Amino acid sequence: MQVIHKLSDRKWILFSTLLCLLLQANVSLAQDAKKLFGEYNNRIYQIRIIELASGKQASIGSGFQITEDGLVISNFHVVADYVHHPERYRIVYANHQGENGDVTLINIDVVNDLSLLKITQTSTDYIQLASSLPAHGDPIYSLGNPHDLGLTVVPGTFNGITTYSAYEHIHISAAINAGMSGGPTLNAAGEIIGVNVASSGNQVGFLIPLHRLRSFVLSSADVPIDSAAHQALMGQQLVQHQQQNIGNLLAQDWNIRAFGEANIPNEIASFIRCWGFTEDDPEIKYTHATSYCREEEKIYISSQFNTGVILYRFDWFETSQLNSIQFYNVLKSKISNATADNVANKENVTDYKCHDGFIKTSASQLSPVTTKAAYCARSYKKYPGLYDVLYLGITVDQDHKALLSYFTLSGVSQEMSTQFTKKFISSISWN
Amino acid sequence: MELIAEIINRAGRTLERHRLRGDTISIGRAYDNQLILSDDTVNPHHALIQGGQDQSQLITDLDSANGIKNERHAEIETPAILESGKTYIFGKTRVRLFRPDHPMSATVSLNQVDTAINYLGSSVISFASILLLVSLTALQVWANLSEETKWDDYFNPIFGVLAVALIVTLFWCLIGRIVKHEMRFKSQFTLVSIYFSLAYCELYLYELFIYNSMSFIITSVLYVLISIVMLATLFWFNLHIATHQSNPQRWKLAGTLSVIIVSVSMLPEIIEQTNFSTRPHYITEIKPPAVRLVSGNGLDEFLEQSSGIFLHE
Repeated sequence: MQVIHKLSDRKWILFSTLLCLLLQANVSLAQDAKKLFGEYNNRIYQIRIIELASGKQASIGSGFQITEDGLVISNFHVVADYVHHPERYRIVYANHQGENGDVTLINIDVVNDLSLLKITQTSTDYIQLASSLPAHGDPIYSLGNPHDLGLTVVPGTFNGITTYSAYEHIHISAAINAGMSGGPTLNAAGEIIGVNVASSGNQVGFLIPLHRLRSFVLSSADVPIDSAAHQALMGQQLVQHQQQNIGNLLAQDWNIRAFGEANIPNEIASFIRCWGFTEDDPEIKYTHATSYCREEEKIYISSQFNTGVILYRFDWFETSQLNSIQFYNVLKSKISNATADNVANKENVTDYKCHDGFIKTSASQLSPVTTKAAYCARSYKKYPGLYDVLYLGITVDQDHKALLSYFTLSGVSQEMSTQFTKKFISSISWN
Repeated sequence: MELIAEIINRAGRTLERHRLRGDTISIGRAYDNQLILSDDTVNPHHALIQGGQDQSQLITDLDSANGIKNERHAEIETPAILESGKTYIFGKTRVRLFRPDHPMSATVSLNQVDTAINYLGSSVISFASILLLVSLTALQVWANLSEETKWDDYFNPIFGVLAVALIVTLFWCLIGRIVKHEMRFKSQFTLVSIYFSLAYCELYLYELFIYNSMSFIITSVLYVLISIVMLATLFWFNLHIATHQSNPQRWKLAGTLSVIIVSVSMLPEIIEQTNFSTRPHYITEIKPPAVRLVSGNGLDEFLEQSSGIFLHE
């Protein structure tokens, strides 16, 4: 408030003009939203997963019609319960007039979080895919059914495809809320530019981009997938994805940076973000710096299981005040809690199996570096050939310095994991 | 006629011992008996022992209310020939009767164990063992320090371990007091302190071994076996001091106790191992370079050896 009082007259004029412009923009947005609401409310559906035993809805989401004959797009995570347990659930839709009908599952894409559904009784109106993405800052409209409150249009702004997403998600400034998942986001012409998928707080929403949606629709057959083959299909998609994703990481040169007395991988892909921090306690008699990198997005498989994680971390420890016995006891306390970064339960994964040992790597000019290493894997029960793995190594040949290196990958094959581990360990060098 | 009468408790332990002389020996509650038994279930004149033929003695029940019974509580038909060393029950009171020429068992010489235990009870040794335990505890604390030292960093663990040693010692003293009427506090406390010190050493060796072998299973089995043997040895000594058991009995009890204690203490870990866990169990032990005895493999070799982690049923 104080700031406003200090504004000079001239600034006041500028301020009011801006305010007027802003209001006008809002009015035009509101008009567009109103138009969209009136035109499209018969093309957007609420997708409900009904539990057969209780007859009540277990979860809800949104979906939208993309063809005359009733093909509807939604998220995979909206129908995940049904995909995993077709015997326990069924999918129904509700249109804007509250009429219900049965839904058949045609196809799923677990990696991109998409599902293709077919509804029985429908209007022939549908929404078209846009031919291209809007420009940065263009107005967009997210539609859906937040919190089961009825069809809602949320205006927002297009911010382009985020760099930090292995799935090329579109970032929009609009409030996507629970229940709007699977709904469309449209450009000003009323064409689909993406599917609502996630939100990270106020006014930050994410969409599955147009081209991924398009290739999903094109790759889908017209006949429903066999419910017994759901898991096999998902397994196949996950295997393919990791082959490509980890394969890409392995193919490229990693960005290396100095850290402590070592050189370590930094951001090895555009969708991986690194953070750094130091243990900041005046009482401790050692220094501890951390470099922490991870992919922020995960692949949703069920509420108790996700995958597709890449996380790696380095810790540099150094001391001039502790003797080696004390220093190694500190290190011991730092290496005892490594775990996976994805959520999994007994239904989906086995227990970890680990191999422990010492690795001797030759440092360029210096004497070889010895690392105490643990390498662990647990297997996916429903998707054979896929594993969650983690590696933890700590150098053990210096009395007062140590480098801890750690990574965890989820949903990878033995082959990819072994290659990644090899590249990861080999990429660490010494000054 | 001369007889020795031992009044004993149910466990066979002698409470009183009397030498009885006379042509006849009367037993009962009344004050005119040679052997007076303070027991309401004994008649004032309960039994009489008389000389029989050939140096033998006859015991006769004087029509008492509760009669005379043998060790197995069977009523004895009297008059009966008295057997030296047998127990007779009058009412509720157990009396063991001996002739003066009853054969004695051979004299047991003081053995090395007794000598050692006496030695452990000396003040110097007790003090030294406690000092050792305190030093090792302090060393343990010191090795784990990574921040500015505060006095209570040392005090709490040291008093903690001394308190536990004291409780264990008092338990054995109590047993000794009940069974043998002696506590032998210093001997017991020295034993327990030495055991705790050895347990520290065992733990350190375990960590050293697990670090150098990188094998959890072999090391742990070895650790459990050694722990059982150490604990059984402690209990053997504790029992030796506190009870009258024979050597085989003592080993059996000490072994059983230590197996039970070690198993119970391992139970939480075994349960955790068998339950599903999202946490991997890898070796977290690391030690300074000076005590690393193995040099390690190349990366390819390590990965080759790791292939087993991908085998899950």
